[in-house]
Amino acid sequence: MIENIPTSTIRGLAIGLAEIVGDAKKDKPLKGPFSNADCVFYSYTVERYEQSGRSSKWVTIAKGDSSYCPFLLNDGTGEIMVFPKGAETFLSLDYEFGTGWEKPLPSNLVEFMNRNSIAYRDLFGTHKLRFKEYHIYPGDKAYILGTARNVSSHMNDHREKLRERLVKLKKDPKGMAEIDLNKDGNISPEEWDLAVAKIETEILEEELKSSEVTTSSPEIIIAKGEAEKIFILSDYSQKDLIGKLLWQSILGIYGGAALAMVMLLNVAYHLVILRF
Amino acid sequence: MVLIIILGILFFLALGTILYFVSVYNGLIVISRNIDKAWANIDVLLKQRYDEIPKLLKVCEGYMKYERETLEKITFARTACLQARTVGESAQAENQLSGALKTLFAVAENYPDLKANQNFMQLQQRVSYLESQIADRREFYNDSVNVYNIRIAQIPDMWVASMLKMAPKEFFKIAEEERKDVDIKFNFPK
Repeated sequence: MIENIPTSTIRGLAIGLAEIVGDAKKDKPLKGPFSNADCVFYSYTVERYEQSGRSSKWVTIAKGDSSYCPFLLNDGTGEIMVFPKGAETFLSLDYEFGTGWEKPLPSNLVEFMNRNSIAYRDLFGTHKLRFKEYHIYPGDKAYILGTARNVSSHMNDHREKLRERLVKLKKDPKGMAEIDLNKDGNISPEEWDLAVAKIETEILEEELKSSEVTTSSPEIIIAKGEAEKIFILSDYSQKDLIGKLLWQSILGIYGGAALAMVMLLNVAYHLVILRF
Repeated sequence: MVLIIILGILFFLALGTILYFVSVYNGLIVISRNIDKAWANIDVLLKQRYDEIPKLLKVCEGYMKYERETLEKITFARTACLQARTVGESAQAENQLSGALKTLFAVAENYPDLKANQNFMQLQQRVSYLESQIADRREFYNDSVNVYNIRIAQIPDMWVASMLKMAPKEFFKIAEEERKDVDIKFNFPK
């Protein structure tokens, strides 16, 4: 699929499934939850090492991303807003931290675990944990295969709407209390960023819904399509991404065939045993 | 036991081959439809440009009474575009129209009153932007045609393509004249 769709320029983009490549940007960059690095998109996982008898494995105990928060892509011919909700991401690992002997959990990670109510220690000490974070940094070349969709001309007022709602939120003590997640009476920069991202998502979803009934002055965004389910977001080049996916599909096909053969042999073996 | 294993292997080989050919067939159909869609997307912009041209000519007429030939060329090229039926005919007519528009904008440089006209400025911007968009979509269309033409010439896709009588598609070519600078002749009375 990736090989069969040529890359479009943003200026010449038409509605439907499209592949675009450009520099990622965001007016107010996000902060990586573990590294605190500036980025336009992040995803993370927290894994715990679990041992049961003789077997052991890493189990994902928390994961998340900033898919609720749109960013911009510029390819030199134009700029387009990307709404990453529902995207399958292929990103290079940018931050990794594992707890272990003389490697206690740093304070920012302790705070993250507490804020998200994730247990990280028991009577015997801190669990063996692994934190991974993947980013698209501002200025990174991003590859996107997604659906170009119309949104109403109200998209132009996106920032204005966001500003109005934030002003309204600041004047609403009940709303401010709701965004104070740790209930310490203060709104931390992280809590404020989360609130901004949530409002931005609400506005974008309203705009996406309204695009179904209005056709005046269309603006285009890239998002997950309704008919086209494919939506890929990556910071790898197209060539590297194809290589990565090719290995996955080869493993899937041959692994599946090998498994089927083993099952067939197993059935045949049992049939022979039953017969004799 | 050996017979069952051999039959099993043969079954999986046959199943794998059928599935592979089905995926090749589906792939070719998708690529072929993508070309149709890419062409339709160019067509949308071409129609938008045709709609803008009469307005542009109307604004120019008042100022460029000595450039009748240039304006007529645009009208003639626009009519040819509307009558084009195949990709080849469209490409040829489009190249003529783009060339004529380039000449018009270049000649307009010599008419300060026209250049200062708000309507002309807006229409010029709009037509130029549409021209850039058409160029981008033409490139996309040619890339799609290239992917398709390569696929139907490769083994094993060519076997499926020949069964379906799929022929190579035509590129939307840019004429040599398009690449050259515009030759401007002013028709002021001596």
